[in-house]
Amino acid sequence: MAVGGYGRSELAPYSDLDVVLVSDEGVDVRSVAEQVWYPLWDSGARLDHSVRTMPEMVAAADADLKVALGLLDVRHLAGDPNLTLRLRTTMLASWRRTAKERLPALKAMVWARHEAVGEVAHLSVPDIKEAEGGLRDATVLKALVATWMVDVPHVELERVRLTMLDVRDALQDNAGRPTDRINPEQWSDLGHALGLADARAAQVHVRELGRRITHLSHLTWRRVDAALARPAPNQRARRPELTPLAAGVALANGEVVLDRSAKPAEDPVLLLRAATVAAEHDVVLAPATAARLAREGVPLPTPWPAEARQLLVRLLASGRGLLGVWETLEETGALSRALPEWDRIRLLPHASAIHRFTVDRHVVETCIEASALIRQVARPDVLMVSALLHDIGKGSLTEHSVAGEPIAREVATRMGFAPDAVDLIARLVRWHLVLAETATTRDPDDPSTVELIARRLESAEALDLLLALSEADAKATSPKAWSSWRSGLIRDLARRARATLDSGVAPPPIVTDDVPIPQEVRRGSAAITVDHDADGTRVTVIAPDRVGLLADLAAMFALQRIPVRAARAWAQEQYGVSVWEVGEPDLDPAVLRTRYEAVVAGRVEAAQRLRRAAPADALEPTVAVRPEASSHATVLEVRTGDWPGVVYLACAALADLDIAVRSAHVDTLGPQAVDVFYLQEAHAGVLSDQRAAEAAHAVRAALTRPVTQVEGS
Amino acid sequence: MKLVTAVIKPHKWEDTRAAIEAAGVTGMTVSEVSGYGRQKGHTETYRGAEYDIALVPKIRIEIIATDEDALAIVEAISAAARTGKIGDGKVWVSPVESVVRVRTGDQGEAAL
Repeated sequence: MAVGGYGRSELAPYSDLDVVLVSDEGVDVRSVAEQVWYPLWDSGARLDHSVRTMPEMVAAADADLKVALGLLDVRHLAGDPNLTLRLRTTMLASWRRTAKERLPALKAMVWARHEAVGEVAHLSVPDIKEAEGGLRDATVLKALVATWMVDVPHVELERVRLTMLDVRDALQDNAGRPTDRINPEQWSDLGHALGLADARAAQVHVRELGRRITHLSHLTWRRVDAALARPAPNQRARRPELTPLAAGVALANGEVVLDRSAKPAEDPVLLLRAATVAAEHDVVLAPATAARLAREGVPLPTPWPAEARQLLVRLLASGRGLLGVWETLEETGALSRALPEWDRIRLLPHASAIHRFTVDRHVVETCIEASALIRQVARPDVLMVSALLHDIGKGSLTEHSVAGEPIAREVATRMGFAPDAVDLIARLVRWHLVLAETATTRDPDDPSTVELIARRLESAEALDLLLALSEADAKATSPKAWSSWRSGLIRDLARRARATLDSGVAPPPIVTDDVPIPQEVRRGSAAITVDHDADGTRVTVIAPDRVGLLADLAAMFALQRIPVRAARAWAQEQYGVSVWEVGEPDLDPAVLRTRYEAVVAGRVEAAQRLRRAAPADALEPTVAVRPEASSHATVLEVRTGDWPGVVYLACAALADLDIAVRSAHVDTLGPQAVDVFYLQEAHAGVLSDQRAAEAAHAVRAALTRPVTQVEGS
Repeated sequence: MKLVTAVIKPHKWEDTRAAIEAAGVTGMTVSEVSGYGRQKGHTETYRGAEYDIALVPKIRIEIIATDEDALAIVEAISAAARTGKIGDGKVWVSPVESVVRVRTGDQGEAAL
């Protein structure tokens, strides 16, 4: 019987012949063995042979996973075909029966191999058999399908697998020996043998195949995980259960799919919504769903609507979950539609050996690293999009940060960013290397070094963003690139540059309108009005000003789970005016007023209910007193995760200290809420340093998920 | 034979390497190190986060040379790495008893 590659009839020019001589127990096969092996040895064929009885075969397969996998492909060569048939049936039946117990071990084995060898798509000398995305992964996928627990896109898998086998044939033909590793000097010959234009085309071809196998492999293993986690079939409902996650998007069997209310032909944001939800939940975006959306979905209008921009930032900042979803978007062609510029860097090899990944994968890794740094910056949206675009200029003859600037500007404009954010993104892409380069090559004590950085970046905001981007870029490149030695140099330079930039940067201005004060408000009650526009709903509230007014209004929204996208508040005469942009299409002012009155009267306990809403695994909030405080108020800046109740908890903590919020600027940038509060003592006047520190401490404590309650002190 | 060791400011590395190579040296060991001397370190607080910069990043260069070459190398390094400010670093020379080239087994000056 033939096993392994010979069993699958897939011999490469220099493959070994894997042959087993199998007999029933008690049969003396010595003379047969000699008659079979000697002529084969004499022929010079590379033979890998063994002699076993049926029970020995079964025992070997039970003991060794690799043997079990090899025997799934057993093929009859000569002798009694019934014996082969019996072995095959036994092996397959046993594989199916024991799959639940054996798959975790198989997964560990596959993962260990990936860890040791690397990935076809990114290795400088890819091993197209053993590396992740190589032929062995494709064989493992067939074994997974043989368990009957999961399915794969068969046509796709076979096409990719056979094409990769062709690559191996050409490789071994060229090399004249049994090799699976492609050395850099072989690309050109390989390209020629495969009928491709040049070495670069050959690289893209092979790495693309590797990436497709990797993608199918990720997808299938996630399905295996889901199948292993599911209860036994008889306890399961017959129809897949849909858990709604967002408008038109639901979770079914651990994968994000569309639900019945989804309208791909009318909702241009649907694809981004599905992708973002999948990445944030770290689950599979069903490839069929992504493909359908890429095919049938309406393209995003130019410029993108605000929701699309917010979703993209949330997607990019979703952490590790981004990798799989991005892969699916890329494989299904959905990415090229939303971001055609991506094709410039797709599978582009890096020129420098320090890089672990091709340019496109490096960019995804940079986004993942940057997502952990968003609390360090006031504009997480700018950070994430700059991380996405920082290397977009690679692959041309011009220096890539120079080539990338106009592309970044164009993309950011199309995404609908305001001109100041577009400038910031373009500036970050243009100078994304300047901190790292300057820190190692210029004298930090020389004033002209600091001046150079300050001139390039112009603002402390841009500097903070660049420091975070430099860190993410370096960490994604290689752990060595952000050693404590190197980061020490870069942080020191940034610190020196910041000292020259901090002065004169104004906190965001509060835009105030002069609104007419209604009579009812002059008589002492609150006026709530609701307006609808294209982007959502605007709620305006006017009431006699008092400490705690904003907290009560924020509670009114949060308790109804109405997301606050942005808000601004200011004082006019002795009245407090606030304008809230909320993401809820239908709001009844009468209902809002009832809620508000319940909160004011203390009929609902907001604090306990909203504090529980804080997500457990979020990054710590950042709360800082801005040093550039205005002369009449103390400025407090809060950066935290975006969950219902953030504004309420911050305002309530301030109200408890009897501190008045004179005006406020609340904004949601992707997954991060950035709130700026202008504070005064209740009876007017800026806060003393100590009171400001108390305020910052109280707000930080309110926004940090409580572990234990400490009473008094 | 002598071992020349130098600790210099990172941004002076390129200039220093050029000077050492101009002095006829073809090989050296270079490492990224941290430390402090009279330059001292200090702690900085920025927006609530404390950065310990007590250890200052430096480049450390090690070269084994003949007694005559060692002097020229020290000259080259101290000229190239100088900014005149505190923290420029140090160069020191220590005696070397024996050297073996691993590949060939050559000993002494033949191994340099």
